[in-house]
Formats: sequence, C-alpha cells, structure tokens
Amino acid sequence: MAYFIDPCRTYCSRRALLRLTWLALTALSAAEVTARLDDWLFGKVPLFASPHRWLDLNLVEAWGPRGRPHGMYRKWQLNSYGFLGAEISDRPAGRRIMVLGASESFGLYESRGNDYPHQLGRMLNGDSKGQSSPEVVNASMAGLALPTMRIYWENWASKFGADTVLIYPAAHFYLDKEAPSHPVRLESPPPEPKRWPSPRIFERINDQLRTIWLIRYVRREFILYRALSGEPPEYLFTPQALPNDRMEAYVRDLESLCESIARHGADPVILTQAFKTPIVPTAEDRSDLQDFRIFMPRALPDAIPAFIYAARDATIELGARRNWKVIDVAGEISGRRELFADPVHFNDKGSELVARIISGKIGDLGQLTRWSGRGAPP
Amino acid sequence: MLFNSFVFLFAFLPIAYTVFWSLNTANQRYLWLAFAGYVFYSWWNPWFCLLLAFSTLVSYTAGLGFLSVNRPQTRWLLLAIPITVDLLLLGFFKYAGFVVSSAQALLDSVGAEVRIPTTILLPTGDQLALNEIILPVGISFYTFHTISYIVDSWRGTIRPTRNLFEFAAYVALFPQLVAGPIVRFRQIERDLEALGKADRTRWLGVGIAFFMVGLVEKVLVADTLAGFVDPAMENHDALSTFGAWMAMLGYTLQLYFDFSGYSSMAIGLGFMFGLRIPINFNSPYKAVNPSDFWQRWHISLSTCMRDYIYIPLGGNRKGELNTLRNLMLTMLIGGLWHGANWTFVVWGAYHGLLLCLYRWRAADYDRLPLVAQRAVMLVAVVIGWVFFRSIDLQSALELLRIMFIPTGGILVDHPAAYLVILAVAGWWAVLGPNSIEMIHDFRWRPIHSYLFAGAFGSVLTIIGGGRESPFLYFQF
Repeated sequence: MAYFIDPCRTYCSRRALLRLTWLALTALSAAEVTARLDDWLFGKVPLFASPHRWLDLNLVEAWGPRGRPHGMYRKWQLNSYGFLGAEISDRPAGRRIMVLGASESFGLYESRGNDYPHQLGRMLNGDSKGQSSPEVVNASMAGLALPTMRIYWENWASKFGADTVLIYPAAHFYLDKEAPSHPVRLESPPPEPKRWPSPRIFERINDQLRTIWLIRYVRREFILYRALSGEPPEYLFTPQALPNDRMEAYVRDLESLCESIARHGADPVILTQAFKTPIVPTAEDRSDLQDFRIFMPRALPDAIPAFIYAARDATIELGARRNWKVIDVAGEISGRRELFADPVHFNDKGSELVARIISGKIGDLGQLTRWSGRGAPP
Repeated sequence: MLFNSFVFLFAFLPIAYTVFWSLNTANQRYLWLAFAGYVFYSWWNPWFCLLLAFSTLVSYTAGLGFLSVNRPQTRWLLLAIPITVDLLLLGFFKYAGFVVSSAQALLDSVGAEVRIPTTILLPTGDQLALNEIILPVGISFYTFHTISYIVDSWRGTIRPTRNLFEFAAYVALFPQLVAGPIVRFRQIERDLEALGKADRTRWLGVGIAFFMVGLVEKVLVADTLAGFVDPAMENHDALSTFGAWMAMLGYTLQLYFDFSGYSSMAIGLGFMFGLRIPINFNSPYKAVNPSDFWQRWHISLSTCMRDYIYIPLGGNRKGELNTLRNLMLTMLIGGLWHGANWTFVVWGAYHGLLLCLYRWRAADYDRLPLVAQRAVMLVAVVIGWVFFRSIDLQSALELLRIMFIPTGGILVDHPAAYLVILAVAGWWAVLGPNSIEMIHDFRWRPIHSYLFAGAFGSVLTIIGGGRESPFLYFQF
C-alpha cells in the first residue's frame, strides 16, 4: 500500500509499472462487463450487441429514412411501424393525431415517455371524460428536416390515417452549411452498413468527457475552425444579414409539406418553434449559443435566435395566408430558459407545457373535426 | 455533490485530502475541513450554508456560555434557547407544510369552517407556500449534531471547545454532514484534538477499503436493486402478491445497502482525514428481535434517541407501563424525524409496538429457534418498510393488501435476473460479513488491489451511465 503514497516507488519500478498496467486492464475489463450487464438489465440491449445511435433507430428505404421497426436505443423504443411509443393499428379506430418533427418532438432530453406528443396523448386522454379520446402518434425522427419530412410523410406516415398532423419544424436546420434538401430516390434500399463491435464503455466515457467544459470548448473551437477556415466574412450569417434565401426555402418547404398533408386528407396544424433565449441573447446565453454553433458554424451566436424568431413570424404569416391553423408555442415558451435542456430541446417541464398549450389550443374533442384547410377552422 | 459522483471522486476528494495533509497546524486543518464542508454543502444550494453557519454559531455560543456560567437557571436557559432555535429551524423547513395540512385536515374532518393560512409573507413581499419550502439537505442530521453538543455540554459529559475553527470543522465535517452517521462531539473529540497526527499511511489504506466497500454497496448493489424496485413500486397496484413481495424484499435490501454504503463511505472518508467516525450498521438483518434490530440499524440515531429522548423520559426506571410509554414516544419521534409524512409516524409507531410486544413477551419469543427468530424479525422489518417506502397511508395499505391477500398481477421486470441479484444481495445482508467485519483485521495484499480495481471500474461505469440515484437518506 505504501507504494501508492510514494510516487517515486510507484513510477520508478518496472514491476510496479507492470502491476499498474494489469490493474488498469482489470478495471477496464470489469467496466466493460458491467456496462454490458447494465445495458442488458435496464436497456434491454443484448449482451453481445453493438448498439449504434442511428442504425438502431433508423431504416433507410429507397425513398429515404424512416423509423426502424421495433428499434431500440437507450430510452427510446419504437413500435412495429418505427414510431416512438406503444403499438398502434395501421388504421385508427377513432381520431388520430400524428406529430411530425425532428429531435425536439422525438424527445432528446426528456425522461422516457415524456416527449410532448406522449404527454399530449395523456392529457387528451384525461380530458376526454369517458368519450373516446384521440390517439396521438409520435412519428418524429431526429434530424428530420422539412424536405425529408415531406418525402417521409408521402411514402410512409400518410398511410396511417391521421386526421390531424401537428408539424413542429426545425428552422435552425436552414442555418447549416447548405439548406436542407430532400433525399435522392434510389432504385432499391441501400445495404445496411456493417456494424463493428465496440466497447460499451467508450460511449459512456465519451458522454462523460462531453460534460467537461474544457473538452467541450476545445472540440467546439476545432469544429468551427475547420468549418470556417479560409471563408470570407460574408460567409457568416449575422443578425443584421440573415439569409433571406434560407428563410424563403424554409417557408417554401413548410408550405409544400402542408399541401401534401392536405392532399392526403389530413389537416395540417403548424407549431411555431420555441427557443431557449430571447431574441437578443444575454452574455450567458451567448455561451450556450456558441456551443450550439457546432451544428451551424456559419451562424454567429446572435443570428441563431434572430433567425428562429423570424421563422416564427414567417410561419404565422404562412398560416394566415393559407388558412392553416398555427399554434404559437414559441410565443408562450421562447425565452423561458428553465423549460429547455439546450437552445432548442425541451426538458420534461418544457415538454409538459408544450403539450398543455397544444391541448388547450386544439380545443375539446368536439373541435377535432376535419378541417378542409380552406376557410376558417371551427 | 454525491460521494458517488465524478466531481467528488476526481476533484473534490483529491484536493481536500492533498491540501489537508500539506497543512502544518491543527487550526489550519480545522479551517480547511470547515471550508471543504461548506464547499461540499454549497453544491446543493449555497444559501443554505448560511443556515448551517447560523446553527454552528448558536451552538458554539451556547458551549462558551456553559464554560463561564454555573448558575443552574442560566445554564437551563443556555440549554433551552439554542435547542429551541435549532428545533424551530428544523420545524419550519421540514414540518411547517405537514403541520398545516394535517391541522387543516383535522379541522375539515370535524366540520370546522376554519382555513389555516398556507402561505407566509416574505420580507421581499412575495408569498411563500408552506408546502413548497425547500428542505435543506441534511438539516435533520446537523441539527442533531448541534443539539447533542449543547445537551452534552449542559450535562458536563463534554467540555465545550473554545476553538471556533474546531467546532465549525466538527459541524461541517463533509463525510457525515448530509446523511450521517450522527457523530456526537464526544465521539470525535480526541481525534479532532490530535488532528493530523494519525498514522496517515495505515489509516489511508483502511479508509480506502471502507470507502470502496461503501461504493460497491451503494452503486453496484443498492442502485442496481433500485433499477428494478422503483419501476415496480411506481406501478405497485398492478403487482401480484409474489411481485409485491419481490419488490418489497428488493427495497428492504436497497435501503440497507444504500444507507450502509453511505455510512461505510463516511467512515472511510473519516479515516482518510484521521477521524474515527462511529459505525452505523451492524448487519441489522441478522437481528433476532426488535431490540436487537435497533442496536444494529442506524446505530447513531438509535443511541441518540436513547440518550436524549428515552432516558430523559425516564427510560425503564419508572415501572413497566411508563417504560412502554417511553418506548412508544421515542419511536414516534424517531419516525417523525425521518420525514414530514404520516407514513413515517406510522412506521415509528409500528416499531414502537414491536419493541413493546417484545418487551412484554420476550421470554416466550426467545424460546423460538434462532432461525425462526431471524425470519420473524426480517418479515416484521419488511412490513415496516412498506410504510417507509409508500408516499401515503393509502398506498401503504394497498400494498400490504396485495402482499397478504393473494392477488394476480405483474412481477418485477426481468424476474429471473432480479431473483439472482436479490439472492446475492440477500445472502450478503443476512448471512455475509458487513463492512466492519470485512475490514476488521485488514492487511493489504496484492489481490486486494485487483479486487478494488475491478470494483472501481464497475462503479465508475454505473456512475458514468447516469443511472445512479442519490442517497435515500438525503431526503431526511
């Protein structure tokens, strides 16, 4: 035991060095076995499987991605149709509300079953007072931008007889290097990539390292440097020079999606995207936003909320112009930092409030009638 | 900050330890320990450090008073006033909402149309709802520390210290600050006076051994059991009879390993800093009768209740009826100490009843075979834990109904794996050695390094997976 106190004896002796190596290997082996047992007991991950964040939850068809049937990764469990949550029938017995969105709607940070679509379903179930309550299906997928969402709707989600489709658009995707575009249709589904076995503890170590401020800082600065190196100043999006072409693309893609939903006989209801910071962020907010820039290096920190708030205005204007119902979630939630886990994703409390806003605005069951999309909704 | 967290294991503890042993004088070490304790406590809520400091100053001042005052009436005031202040603080933060809601329920039940105010006006002009008062972590524990100091000073059992740094270090000692053991000043006085003079190398080894055993108990056993028990208990009305017993046996073991693990870690940390924190658990599930159980479970609390409540009430010196009354009162107060909920009061009353029953029929009970006594005692304890675990009396009674009236329903998730874990944990608790027995004649051997390395790797994996839970006794 003394050699752990006396550094010289610890590090100067070859025998001690060898012993330290064996100790480290023992610790790592025990850690790996524990991680696999823990994942098996509480995550239902087979002992010898190699979990993959994307591959376990997604399947790529010839037309594009959808949820993997019975996909499972950590707290997320998909049903046989690749939608998050419990099994559904392919045709609804009663009214069905489908939620289309990206990770904000899929539920990145909320505890299991607390994404806002599921909370909405429970609230509507509680409000139904003995009448049959509408079923809420969360058909969202992480990373689903509007063009891909339309393809996904047309080729898959529209088959499930939704009466109402809630759309939660992620406007910040339009601040990326390139504007989102829809996937290229292939002749056949691409082959599944090979999965390489990897130690489970690597992912846990990775998750923990990301919580260390210094590592986050270095990673962020490296990503931004790589993305912006050699680019002129005009390459950057600033709050004074927001990319109008991207805003137009956002509105165009959203309109196109809503038209497709209406063509399939469902009623589109657009939710405005909420954001953690006010439109003019504080110094503390800027630190968060600077971290968030790794997903959109071209946008300066202040440009991100400016664009998202502008997208909210554009969404409301689109709804008024085309007579589509818009539920202004952003109007009630944006700027309330305690409801967000990061600039765009909700925590449990935030999701609960989103669900409550939707359930309040969508009205009682009597108002869940089919809207034609033309004329004022009832 | 939890003991089983990365920031504690890799930042707080190494810094606290290194700086402590590099200091030269006792006062420097007291100051450092107190500072470390306040940093540790402020991790939950920095504002509650003011409460801790206030409680420390009140008790310290009372101690100084006892040193200079001899008049019995004045000494009585020096006893009563600080204790009242401490109990008022504890009462406000912990019991205000409970008292008001219980009183209102009582008034409503007799048809009185009286509404008791449920909010108070703060100096800022805001209204604070009594049932939304945040309970400062560990207030029940450090209040007990300071009260025991005041009472022992009054009784003359200890000589109060004039050294504010020493006393501040004692109250804010981070190993036992938020979840015990309840360390009385007299138990640690000699080690505090000799701070920094312990055999550092040997005590570090013992400290690490206790700490590792505690980590394993808490993270690998208690938290693993919690992963099964918590979802089952959330859905307890859907459990079958067998499922309910599975869940409650799991909770019985979870609670023990959680609390015992914390206590072992606290003892280990104490050793690392040259302080011998008293043991708190001595294989309580090996108890053969209720009296034996309370000499093994939360020993620091039960001895405090004996010395500061049971004996002052008269103990067993004033006849059988008074003894039974004193037992019941002591256990009722002990139950209430655990939390502001009627379930804890009922749990305390239940154990009081067990003690009284045992006292009444001890001769008959002791004739049972030892195995039968242990089995009876274990079942009795499990039943008590139903009240301890339940959020209200209705849920507790519902769970007891399921446990004793054959009911269909679901089992705990992964029943086969769960039963294996239950069997291993059960063996360790009921038949295996506790941390004291494991480390009693501890002599470091090379194989221990590999065992500890493996255990440490496993513990870090669970902590890194984000599934670890805070210590159950933090809520008290």
